[in-house]
Amino acid sequence: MELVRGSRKAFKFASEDVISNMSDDVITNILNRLPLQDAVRTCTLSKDWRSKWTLLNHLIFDEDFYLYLQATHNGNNYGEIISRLLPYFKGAITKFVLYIPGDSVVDVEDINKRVLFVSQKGIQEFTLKNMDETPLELPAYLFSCLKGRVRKLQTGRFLAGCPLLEILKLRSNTDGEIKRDEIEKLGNLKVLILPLYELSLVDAEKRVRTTLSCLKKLRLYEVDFSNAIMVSCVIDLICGFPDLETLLIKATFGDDVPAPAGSSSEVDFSRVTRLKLQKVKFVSVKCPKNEVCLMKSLIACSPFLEKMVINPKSSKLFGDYDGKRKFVRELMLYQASPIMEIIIDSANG
Amino acid sequence: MSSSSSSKMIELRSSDGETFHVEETVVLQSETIKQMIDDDCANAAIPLPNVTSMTLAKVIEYIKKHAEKPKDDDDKKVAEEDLKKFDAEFVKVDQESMLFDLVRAANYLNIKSLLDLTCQAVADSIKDLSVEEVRKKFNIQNDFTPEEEAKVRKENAWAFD
Repeated sequence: MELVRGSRKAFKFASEDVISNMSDDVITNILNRLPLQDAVRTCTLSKDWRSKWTLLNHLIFDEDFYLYLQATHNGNNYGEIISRLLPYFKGAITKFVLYIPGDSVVDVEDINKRVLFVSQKGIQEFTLKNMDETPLELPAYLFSCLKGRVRKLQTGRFLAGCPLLEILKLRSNTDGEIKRDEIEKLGNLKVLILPLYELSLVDAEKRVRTTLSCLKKLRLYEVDFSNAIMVSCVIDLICGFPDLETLLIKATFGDDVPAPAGSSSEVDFSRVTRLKLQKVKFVSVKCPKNEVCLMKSLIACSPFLEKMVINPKSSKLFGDYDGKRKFVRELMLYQASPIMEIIIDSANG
Repeated sequence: MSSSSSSKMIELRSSDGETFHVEETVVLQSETIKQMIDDDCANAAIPLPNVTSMTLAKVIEYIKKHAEKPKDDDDKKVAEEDLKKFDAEFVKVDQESMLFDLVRAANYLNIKSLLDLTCQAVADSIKDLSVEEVRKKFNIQNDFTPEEEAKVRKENAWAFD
């Protein structure tokens, strides 16, 4: 220890107000970490504290907030309280979360106003979680207003014109609404989480691909391996992200309709280009031909692959230990990376 | 520990006159001190008039721990877990005032991770408390008249159920 210790002194008195004389920055940092209702409650601590909560930079109207209001007011005033609160916030709003409950009547106009409000206040992380059945039709101009480093968008509707987006997570019931060229405009995207049925497959084959080089993480859900166009589309997506490191592919949960004879040959696996994948996980694996071919192609084209985890839908898929070993050996024949391992994880299969 | 034994030592002086010698690579976590070094103001002991020796010793313990570099990837995971445990223990201080001294020091020295850690600890400590309990905990004088307080409470009645 190179500390030079001297005498210690007691410098605190029990009666001292230890928090009120902190700078507003520090108090805001603390309040940002409290549930909204707790932060607002500080207004009655003393006169000095009356409006400190209006300095909040994080506005989290999340599911917990909704549940809090539901417990105290049946949740009926959720939208009203948000609308009433927003004008109070004076400073920058760097983080904004808006949860739209599934059982409520969504007032799109109201939501647009809220988005517009925060879009002009230095937003960095924007999360919109729509649990409602009706897709949100948000006008594109709102998202071109999000000038900051918008990090996260979790929404039912895909919105172009948000070029600084870093994390995009989509979930909703808007089948085939999203066009791939819309995603490809997001040059800063690092993480993409996408159920495949969201993707418009109509123009999947005729389009020229562009690439997104920032993307490191890709999760594709609801991949139907009996659908050759969808599998081709998966290959295009994977190859469209040359710096992709982590990939998760989850097959549709239900039993696939048996593919018509010869259809699996429609997928051209030789199109898989050299990849930088490090970790790959297949979930809900049922081993139709296309799925196994995709595994082999990824293994063969990924010289940096460290780990491939295979999570079978049924623990009986590979039979006994020997069956698993045989399958792993078959995949290992395509090994391009000297350090890769294959793990069959039947734990939650 | 850092492998570079040749790292320069920086001298820090607390408000009550104690001096501490810390490796430059460690102390650079403080943006404030980094700025002073960049501006060439760190040739003599750096005076920190806002930080007592007791607080500064704690801060140095923190930045030293956070300066340790894991050797490889396996080590990295272990180190991350270890650091999490260290952080959790670090903010378990005997006196409330110590936590605030650390918040103030982290703010003054501009060490973001320490400021975030200590602010989170303060937030956690008041999360489920009533307004009266928070006042008591922090010795905040209630200077509202009962009528004024009722009025303020009414303005945001939804938060008080």
